[in-house]
Amino acid sequence: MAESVPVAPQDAASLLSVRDLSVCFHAKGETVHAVNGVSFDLARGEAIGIVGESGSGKSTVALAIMQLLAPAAEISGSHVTLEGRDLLAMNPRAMRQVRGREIALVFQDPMTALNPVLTVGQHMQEALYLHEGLKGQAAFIRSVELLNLVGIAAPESRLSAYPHQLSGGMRQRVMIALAVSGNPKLLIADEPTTALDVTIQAQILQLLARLRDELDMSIILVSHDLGVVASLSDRVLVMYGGTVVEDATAEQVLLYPKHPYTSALIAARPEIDGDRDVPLRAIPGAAGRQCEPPSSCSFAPRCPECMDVCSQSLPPLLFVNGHGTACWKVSGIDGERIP
Amino acid sequence: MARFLARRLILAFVVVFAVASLTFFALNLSGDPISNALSDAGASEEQIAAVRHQMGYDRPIIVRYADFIFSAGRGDFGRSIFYGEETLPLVVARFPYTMILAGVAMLITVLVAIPLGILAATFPDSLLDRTIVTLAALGQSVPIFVVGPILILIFSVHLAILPVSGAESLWSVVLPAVTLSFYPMARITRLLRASMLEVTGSEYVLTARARGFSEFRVVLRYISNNALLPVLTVLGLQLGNLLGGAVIVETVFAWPGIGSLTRDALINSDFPLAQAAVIVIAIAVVVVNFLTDVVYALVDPRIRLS
Ligand SMILES: Nc1ncnc2c1ncn2[C@@H]1O[C@H](COP(=O)(O)OP(=O)(O)OP(=O)(O)O)[C@@H](O)[C@H]1O
Ligand SMILES: [Mg+2]
Repeated sequence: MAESVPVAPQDAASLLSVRDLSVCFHAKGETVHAVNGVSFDLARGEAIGIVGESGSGKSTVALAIMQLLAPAAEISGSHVTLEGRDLLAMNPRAMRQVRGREIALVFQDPMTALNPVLTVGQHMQEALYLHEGLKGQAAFIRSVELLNLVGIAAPESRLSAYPHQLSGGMRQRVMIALAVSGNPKLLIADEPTTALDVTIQAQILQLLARLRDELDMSIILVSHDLGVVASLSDRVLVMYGGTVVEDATAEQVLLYPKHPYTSALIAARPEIDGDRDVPLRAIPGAAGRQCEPPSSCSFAPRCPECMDVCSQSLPPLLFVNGHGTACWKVSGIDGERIP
Repeated sequence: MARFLARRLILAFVVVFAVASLTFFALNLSGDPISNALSDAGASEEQIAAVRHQMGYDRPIIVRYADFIFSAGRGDFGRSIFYGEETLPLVVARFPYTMILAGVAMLITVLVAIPLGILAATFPDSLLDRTIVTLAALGQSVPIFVVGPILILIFSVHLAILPVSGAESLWSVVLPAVTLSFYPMARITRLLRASMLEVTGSEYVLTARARGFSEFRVVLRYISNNALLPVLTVLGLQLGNLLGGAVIVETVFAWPGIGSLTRDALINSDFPLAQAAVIVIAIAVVVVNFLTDVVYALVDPRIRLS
């Protein structure tokens, strides 16, 4: 069993608790603050989504939880606890026990996430031996079972296929089968459908939803697409510039967004049945790289409702009826709340 | 598969034919072997003319070329002017020496370059990495005729533990092989390091780590495996180079392989012998390249022989 570092769990049902997670990258004499004070809790069986545009720090959060960040990354002043054990304080051996068995990861590009010189069967065998100690016939039976589970037809005949011989959707199913081979409690899927076409995308999301129920897994789904995230998640975190700007149920975020960035994200979504004459609305401006930890709202320069206070101090994430927003406009600027 | 073989066979034939033709003209347009050889020996004009007529060298070059190609097609590469014997057996007798030398040099290359490349890429930008990269850059740029004599000075003259030259004992192969392995060793160390670093950044390596595999397993089954693929091609090319390009090393160490045979043949204006040696080398290189392609297709499932 993994070495445990006692940290009081937030509440009994909590599986994963992330508190004030900050990550910066040191590269070429420059420091980029990719994630700044992200906090959230994930209950057993719960699915949360993380949305945000490119560079907002979504993948960095995912990799920080797995302790798989590049050596150039530095995690500061945070707790990431899984069932009360602090992952950040674990030694590499203990962390390896967590990876695959307790937390599994699926990546965006199934094209490059499988080893090109190993067959599907070899991938499965390897994972099953590591996680379950299965070999030979037992491993074969379990491989077929897992491929069946993720909806691959004629699994026996797929075992001898190499990754390049499979379609994108099929590869992503194999990735998911590999990810669940260790019976993880938490599956982190980083843009699992971005590289796939729309119909396949829907199938993969359905598969994830089904597996979540059948295997009683929690899921963290990362995407830049609010629609993708909302379809699967109970709760959605909207990230901007490395901070969580909104944290609410999928319904609240989609129907009653409070943060101007979230509203802009929803407005920018092209509607399939929308009026074609209405031009697509992009969010003006671009997110810059952050070389300093933020001292004010990072969305302020692009915000249509920006006030003086927004570029002076950092709005805290405040919850009203379980709907969290980090915005001066929403929380009001009564002097007591400004830290 | 059959089409692949047929195409490669035709290609091989064309390459060998082209090499044979080029060497024929390069040699025969450079001068007349009989005059060269006999005037040195003090023969008179009439004697030289008689020998040239007897050996067919008084015919126009096109006629001689046609004669050469047709005889060679039947496996007759003519007689050596210097030895007076058939050239092919002379060349074939030397071939094993060149093969042993190239084989040992390749073995040294692989045994040294692969661990060094893996080490350097495993600890990028460390002192170890920088040392290896610097040595490799050095190894790639120092010419063979400098390396050879330095090794002789150190190991044969100074330490007196290895023979200076010749092929009398098993140990004789060590110095020439080490000298010969310098360049490919350096090249492959650098290539493997670069290719390992590239593979290390790939998603399947990150995914393997995320699956909880040990670092050892990740390096062995995910990184090295894939990083060695481009190395394989270069190894094949380098082996081809070693088979054909050992002239300097064989000369420096008086190693009795095809390289020194070719050199002697050229010095003696022994055109038929040089010609036969070049053709044998060309065939060897073609065969090695073919085998490299086959091996590559066997280890990389993405490549099909077609
Ligand atoms: N290895 C690294 N070295 C230096 N900077 C990095 C590294 N990885 C990420 N960053 C920086 O951290 C920030 C957040 O990156 P991250 O990959 O987490 O964004 P993301 O939200 O996942 O974006 P995307 O939608 O493009 O995947 C970016 O500014 C990025 O440039
Ligand atoms: Mg990302």
